[in-house]
Amino acid sequence: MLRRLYLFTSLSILGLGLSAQEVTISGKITDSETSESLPYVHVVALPGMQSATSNIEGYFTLLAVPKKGSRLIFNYLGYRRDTIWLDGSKNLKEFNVELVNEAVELDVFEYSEESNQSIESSEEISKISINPAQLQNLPNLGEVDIFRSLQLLPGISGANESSSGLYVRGGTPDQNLILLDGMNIYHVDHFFGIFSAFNANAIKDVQVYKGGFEAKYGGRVSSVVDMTAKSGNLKKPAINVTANMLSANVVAETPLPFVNGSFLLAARRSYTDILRSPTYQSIFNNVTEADQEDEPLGFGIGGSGSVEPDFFFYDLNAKLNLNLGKKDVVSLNFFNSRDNLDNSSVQDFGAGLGLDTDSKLETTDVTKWGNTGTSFKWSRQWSPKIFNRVLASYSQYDSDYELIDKFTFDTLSFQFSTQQRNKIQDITLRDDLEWKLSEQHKLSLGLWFTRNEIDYLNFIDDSVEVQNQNEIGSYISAYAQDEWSPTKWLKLNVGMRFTQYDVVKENYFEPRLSVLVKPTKNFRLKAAWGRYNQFINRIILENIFGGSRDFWLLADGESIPVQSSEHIIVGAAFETKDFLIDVEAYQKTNTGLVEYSLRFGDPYDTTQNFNDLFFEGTGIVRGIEFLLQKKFGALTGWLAYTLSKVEYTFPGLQETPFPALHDQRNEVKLIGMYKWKRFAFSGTYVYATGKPYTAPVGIYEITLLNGYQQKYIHVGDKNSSRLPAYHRLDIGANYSFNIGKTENKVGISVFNVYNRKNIKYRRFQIQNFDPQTFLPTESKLLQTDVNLLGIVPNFFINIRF
Amino acid sequence: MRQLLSLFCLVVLFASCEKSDDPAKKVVLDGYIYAGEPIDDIRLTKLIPFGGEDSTAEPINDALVFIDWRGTKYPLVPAGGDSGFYKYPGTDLQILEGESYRIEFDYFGRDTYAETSIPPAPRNFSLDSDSIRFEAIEIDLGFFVFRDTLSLDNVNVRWDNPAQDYFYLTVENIESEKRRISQGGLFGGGGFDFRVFSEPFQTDEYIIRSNDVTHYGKHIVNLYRINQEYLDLYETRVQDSRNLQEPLTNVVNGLGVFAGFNGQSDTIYVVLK
Repeated sequence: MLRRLYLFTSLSILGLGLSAQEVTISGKITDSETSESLPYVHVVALPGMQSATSNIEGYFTLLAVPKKGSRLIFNYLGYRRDTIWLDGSKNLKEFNVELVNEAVELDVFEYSEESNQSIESSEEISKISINPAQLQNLPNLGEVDIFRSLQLLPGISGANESSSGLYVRGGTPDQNLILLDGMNIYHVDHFFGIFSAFNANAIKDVQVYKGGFEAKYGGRVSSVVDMTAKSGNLKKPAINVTANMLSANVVAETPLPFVNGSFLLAARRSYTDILRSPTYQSIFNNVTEADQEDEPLGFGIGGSGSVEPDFFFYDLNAKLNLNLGKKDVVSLNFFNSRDNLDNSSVQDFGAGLGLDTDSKLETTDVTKWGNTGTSFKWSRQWSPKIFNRVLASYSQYDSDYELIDKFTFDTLSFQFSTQQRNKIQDITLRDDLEWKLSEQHKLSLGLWFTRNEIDYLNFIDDSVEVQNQNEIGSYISAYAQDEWSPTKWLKLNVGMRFTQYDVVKENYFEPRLSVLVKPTKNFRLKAAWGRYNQFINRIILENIFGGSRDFWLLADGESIPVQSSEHIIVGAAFETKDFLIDVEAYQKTNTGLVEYSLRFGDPYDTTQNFNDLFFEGTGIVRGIEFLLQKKFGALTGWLAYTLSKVEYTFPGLQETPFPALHDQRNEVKLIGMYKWKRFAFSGTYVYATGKPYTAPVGIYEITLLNGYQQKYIHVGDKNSSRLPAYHRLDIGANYSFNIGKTENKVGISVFNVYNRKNIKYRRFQIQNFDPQTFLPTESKLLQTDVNLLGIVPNFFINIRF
Repeated sequence: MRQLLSLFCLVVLFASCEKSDDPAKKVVLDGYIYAGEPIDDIRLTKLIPFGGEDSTAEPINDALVFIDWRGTKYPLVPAGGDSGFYKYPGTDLQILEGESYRIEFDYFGRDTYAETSIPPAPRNFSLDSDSIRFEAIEIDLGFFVFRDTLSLDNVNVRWDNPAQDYFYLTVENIESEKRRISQGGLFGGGGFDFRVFSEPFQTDEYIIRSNDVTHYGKHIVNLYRINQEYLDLYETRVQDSRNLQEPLTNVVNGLGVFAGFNGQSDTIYVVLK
């Protein structure tokens, strides 16, 4: 049996099945308007059903295609499907194809007969493609946002308004590999997580792998989001300007003189520090909880204060792309994003105390965070069958929080300050080789080296060092995978990834396997299995400006273990021209999970052993996803349902398993888009089971050694209670028109139309004094619901010339 | 294959187990025992349920409470009144360094118990001074005479701590008639009767500063070596509302703490020159 298998494999690899009438077709696929290369275009040759997918530079190769009578179908999300008959007139070695963008097609103000999809479910298991250009038609929360749109997919939680990070199939945002032109991006939040740091106008393609991903990806245990930035218009200069109630966005692109290349610059900046629109005010008040009706529990002296929060964000994308001959492409990419909140204030107490002296409290409260990254990429099509890409990238995420309280009383002054800084630097070198061995085999080989350096500093009063971590770690990976099609109805992807991580000096083997069976043209069965490891963790520090004070640490094999995960996925899909029905069931078994808890003490306690704050646990995720998509016509959209359970076991926190904080049993999403003449209408509805939380049961008192009667809250089982269900409806509409040579679009959207009071979390406090008189009273336990965003309208205008 | 089959079965059979936690059936033990001292600091109360009408802890006066020492059970008796306090009236139950003690009682049908041991007393406990001396000062500003008392004295408390154990220090005025240190000036006139105390710390030194004390007279300086039970209780006193956790307790089937201490004492005097 083994000998037969060996013989079969060898023959396939050597491609001995090629007949004299069959030819190899290779070429490049580009955008008809800009000549930008198009990655991940699906190419099928009929009637033989030979298929290929264009690589990152748009190159494709089809082997063993009958020279006459074949037709090639090119299918790419957001582009008009193209069919080309082989009649012997085209050069089959440079079979270059230009596809027409649907957005251009829409200039005639009729909906296309082709797909108007924003998303496309791939044949590959758990993989979805996103067309950023179509996202403008979806309702949005101030900005067109790729990550917010991803949250509308099945299996990705859509109820996390306070973070644009992705909770994919029970995973957490730090378990996702986020790549932008090969750069590792560690923190995706803009504006406290209301939307992500990626400018949708500068992104060409997004590939999402929700699990079971192939061996060429590694370093994370949950999912992969692989984004390709636009490289710029190779034919003519173009400018695209967008403004909304939060920010302005400019994308400028131009061909380069004297060489075959292009340059693109995309810049987006909020004017929230200059003009505070109602949209901004609604969002800002919510994230800072200024809009919450809270019990007046704080002590105060009655001074007069002035607080003028000053907030802005910006991001910048730049890309230089050079086509050196017909085989080589080099590109240089730069990315920068930054958020800055200055919440400083001055409170004058002189009048409050009835004194003439100069008495005031000056608070400096500044939070900054951002990403910077650059990558250099050289791609070469050595032959129609061999493609190689070399990539060097550097990325950095840094956050800085500073709080100084300076109290001045006449000529006396004293101050308290705290500062938290976290910086993670990533240097990655990659080489990826694709080798089309035969019609049956496509071999991918690669090397991947990543070096991380992390600094985490926590100071009090400039000199007291609470925590000072400096960690350096690197891992080197090698992978090999074979996309093997032994028959026309069976596809296998068999791979192995090997990683050596120098901090713990261990070797990790990660086998991967996925299977696709197509018994009929419309029906397919799929399955995947794989092991995954992760060597870096984001530690969550809860605070009202969530996201900015979280910090990253490397796995050390002791207090922070290496995370591991095993994915098992099975599914089936039925697809026609108009509809897709897709079902996938999954199980993820995780080990080495880390929970950071203040249970054992105060993080500001200088005697605290930092490692005591970490707990190790395991988790198991099980779920099933359903997707029903209408792909064609004036009305498109999808209905997604996810049933899932995320259960953690942390023996140090609780003896019995408990639901993870992001566990949501049911989630339903209904997305609809309708095009009528120059108008596009859209609506999204999200329903999700309430998130778990730990509820208090009662209060008790213990006398401490100093005689103080300390109140304690007795809590129920961890995460055993549920918040009310989350649901909201968003709607949007836009109108396209031309003025002269400009193509314009205006639109409105309303987030949370019926102003649902979804709950972010519940706050519990013990009150043992009268809030009016501040006199001691009997103890009461107060519950306050902190809500998510209410209704938020937005308006945008887009001008393209 | 079995995993694949079980996957399909399990995803549709999510059972949600809701566990009940009857707050009325939780006894709160507030119990400290000190080396060489009688047992009179044991208190039992009920939990104040969330959402109920009670806002004060109801004392438990009718429990049968025992201290188990060296295999013998010593019954405690209610200290009197509706206080929830219990004491041991005899002298045969001794609290000794290095010994282990177990408290147990049966209430609400639950066998509730906790264990602690008495840590070693602090070694080479010493004070470098036996007094803090204040001086009266008077500054004539012409239009106003500023009067106050001032002291720059400190008392250094030292002891051995090679193992970096946790200690706790209190300074308590024991005068029957307390006389406040007149600080006059802008910050004077506070009505609080402070007792100096420290947080648990792992050092071998503590400095009692003049501004730590508020009254003249005789003060007792107590230094306790504390054990893990009390440290857990102290360190979990801050409960973060977004990730609410149960405070640590060594009471099985109950709440609170049962902890043993061993201390050394000395005396300082706060005087006006």
